[in-house]
Amino acid sequence: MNAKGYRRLFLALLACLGASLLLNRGRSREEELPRHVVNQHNGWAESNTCYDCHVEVDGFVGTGHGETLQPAGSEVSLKLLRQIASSPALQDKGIQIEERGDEVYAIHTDQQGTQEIRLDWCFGSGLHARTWVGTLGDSWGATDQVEFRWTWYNHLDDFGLTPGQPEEQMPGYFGHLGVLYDHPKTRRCFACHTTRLPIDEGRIDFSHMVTGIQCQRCHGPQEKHVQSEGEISEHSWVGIDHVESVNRCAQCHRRAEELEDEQIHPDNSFLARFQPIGLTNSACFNSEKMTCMTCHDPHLPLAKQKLDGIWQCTQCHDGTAENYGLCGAGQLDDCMSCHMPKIKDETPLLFTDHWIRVRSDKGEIHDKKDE
Amino acid sequence: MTRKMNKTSATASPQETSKQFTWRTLGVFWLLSLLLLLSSLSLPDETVTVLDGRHETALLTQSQWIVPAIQWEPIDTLAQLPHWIFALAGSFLIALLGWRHLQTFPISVILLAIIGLSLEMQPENLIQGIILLGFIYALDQQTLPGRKLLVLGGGMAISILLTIEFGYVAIYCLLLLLPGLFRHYSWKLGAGILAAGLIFLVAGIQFPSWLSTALRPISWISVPNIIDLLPSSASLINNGHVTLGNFLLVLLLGYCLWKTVTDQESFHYPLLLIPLGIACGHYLWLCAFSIAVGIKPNQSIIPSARINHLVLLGSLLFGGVYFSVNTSLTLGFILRDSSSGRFVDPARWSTRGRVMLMDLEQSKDWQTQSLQRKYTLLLDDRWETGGVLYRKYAGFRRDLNEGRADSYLLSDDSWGGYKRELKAWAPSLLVTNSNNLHDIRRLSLSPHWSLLGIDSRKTIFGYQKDKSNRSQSQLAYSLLTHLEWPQGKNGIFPRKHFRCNHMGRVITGFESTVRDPVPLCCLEIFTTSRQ
Repeated sequence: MNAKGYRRLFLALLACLGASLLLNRGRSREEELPRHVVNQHNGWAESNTCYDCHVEVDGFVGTGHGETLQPAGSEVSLKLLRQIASSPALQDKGIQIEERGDEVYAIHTDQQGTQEIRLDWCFGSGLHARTWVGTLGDSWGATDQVEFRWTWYNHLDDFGLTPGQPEEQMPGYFGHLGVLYDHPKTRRCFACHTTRLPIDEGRIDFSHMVTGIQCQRCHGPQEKHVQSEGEISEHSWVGIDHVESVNRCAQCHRRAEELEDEQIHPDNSFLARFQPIGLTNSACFNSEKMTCMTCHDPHLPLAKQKLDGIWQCTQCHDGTAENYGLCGAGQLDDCMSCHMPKIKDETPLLFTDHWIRVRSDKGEIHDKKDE
Repeated sequence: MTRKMNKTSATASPQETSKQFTWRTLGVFWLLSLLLLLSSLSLPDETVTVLDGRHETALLTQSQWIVPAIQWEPIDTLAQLPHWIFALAGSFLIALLGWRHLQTFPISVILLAIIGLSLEMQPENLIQGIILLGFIYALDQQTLPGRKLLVLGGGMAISILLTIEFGYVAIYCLLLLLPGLFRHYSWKLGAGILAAGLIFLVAGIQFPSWLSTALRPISWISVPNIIDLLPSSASLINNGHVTLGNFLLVLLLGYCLWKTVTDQESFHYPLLLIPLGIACGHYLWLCAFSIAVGIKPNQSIIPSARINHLVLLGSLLFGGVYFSVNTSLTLGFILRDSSSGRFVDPARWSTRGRVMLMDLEQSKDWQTQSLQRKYTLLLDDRWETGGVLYRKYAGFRRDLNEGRADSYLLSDDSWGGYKRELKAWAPSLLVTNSNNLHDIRRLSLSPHWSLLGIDSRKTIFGYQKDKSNRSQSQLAYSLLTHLEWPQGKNGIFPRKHFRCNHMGRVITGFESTVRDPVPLCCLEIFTTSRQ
């Protein structure tokens, strides 16, 4: 082959390579589909950098959202686990906790033998309860979860059966200690208790997981915002309507579509646990202003939010607007106790019912007024 | 092994050198290709679709271009052929390509081409290959530009009638002919090209689905998530799994490129299609075949007979070894072994309705008339029309795999979760590739789906709320329960027969279950999840 031939070969190869690369531009399989926001790999800022500028949310770490997941070996978790030894509810259950270095084990002993699981994480803010889980690799390398059978309840200050677990223990090794959940369910559990949950080849990357619901869980990864010192601001909450706003909170607090239609009725006390379902079924939600943030400030701990009084209701029901009447029972204070009382379901938990309505069990108040 | 000679200086003409070869060489090529085609994952008497004859899909409102010939009954009956007939015809086609280049390619390159093309050939490539080979042979007979233009028109008309890849054929023909025709440009030629262009334009306006089908070789670039849904469309550059066949086809293309750029007289313009073949695996076979069949090097090669015989024998040995995996199946077919099983046939079930394919590559398996009478695919591999829904479909598929029923916020501020789509699209069956154990495992754990059938190619799940799935679901469950405890009581193996195994083989005992590890692995996962 002469020089001309080599030149033509070189050009032809170059053209083929260039065209192939051009045709393949941006065809990376990984990035084609949008990810679950917590599984996103890039664009995250260091969590604490938010508080450098946003001093108004300095106390966010102490909120229920911020503390909704922590290692089982944390001080708060260990303090509660140590109560198991003296727990009246677990006296005859054969359960004990053992600390081995940095690791915590739950051990069950009976005549049949001894079983143990390592507890890795403590779920829940402690406002209502805390539940522990152990994590273990399944045969595919992904992470499964053993949910501890016993949950600590705040208002009892004692342990009880974890919500959703059967009264009779499940068969198998974990039976006395908890229930084994598969990987998809494990991911769902962690996704609602973390800000960032990197998944690599189907496995949770615990070393880069950011625990608790922090700023970027709701506002999205803000690396660009931090790097540009605030010049770049992507306000993903600006311009969204009230349905979208509630739906975002409802990712974890549950949406109505997650339940069967027949489950959604005012007499179902189970719904009190899932606040957005009640709220979106309330007459108040007809107002396009009504969102979770109408009453709540998610940047503050619940204890610091001013949730008593009537200011939430009188934002609309102030007696001036024709469409928003005043209380039919003539009450001028404490709307919540009648229209949003705390409800207890089958578990020891108490939840504020967010299905705002004239309740059938409070009808006598109206009757008295009529008399 | 070979000796090259320039066409101009050759003392022996190609006709004389061809005398050194006999029909036996063609027979060897044919046999080699046949062995390789028969070793693909199909039973010899299983029907394969050689002519695209699909119906509408459930999610698309606009109609798709359907190959016109399929509406003619005699052709329609030939749309599905037993695999052994396809293998016979396909291997002959590939052997003809090899034979065509006996005087121009070294025998080693011809064998590499035959092996590569045979390993990667799909049933739908048969018609396309015949059209291209026929076109080239017809073109060889013509010398006048006008006649060549007529051949081009005829070739195009036949390809439009018989294959949805007529767009590729058109591009190929134009690249092959136009540069030469322009050298003999006349007003008649210009008028002919103009007329052809006008016909194309009018037909495109009149039949938009025809136009979009014609643009298939281009439109795949803009289809989102096509690699997720059609892995064969992935490029060889991005694809981590390059098969032996792919590798050999790339070698063949490289050789053709080398031959043409070292040629001082002309450049083979269809080589410009190489990027398409490399960037979109779907077109690799077509690209390699069309370029190899059309190239005409100006050098002749006088082969050395003795060494060539050795090479041919070696290649047959390779083919035999490759085929040996399937020997029992083919022998069973030849001897009409009544015990040989078949693939799961959902046409025999009482189920009917919509089918969701997790792997759109399997669309062709659902084109038989018996299946189309009962089932409608949600979406198929026709990206030119369905591509607009691929992103949504891929998201739905991922959510199903990950068990994400309920809404969750995605990084682009949209909502994921399969529950809404499941309600709206209402698939009765969900079909996944049996090699995808991750999908099978996940779906086995889902409360919405139950396993209905499994063979080496596909694993079928039924929507539990669909009552028509119940009888098959019970049948599958008893089968799986049986497989989970194959020893039965007192260690006596229950003498029952199953029909859901590797290569459709029947399991008659524990030993045969050990021989068929892939589906059993799935079964084990399924039954374990039920505990």
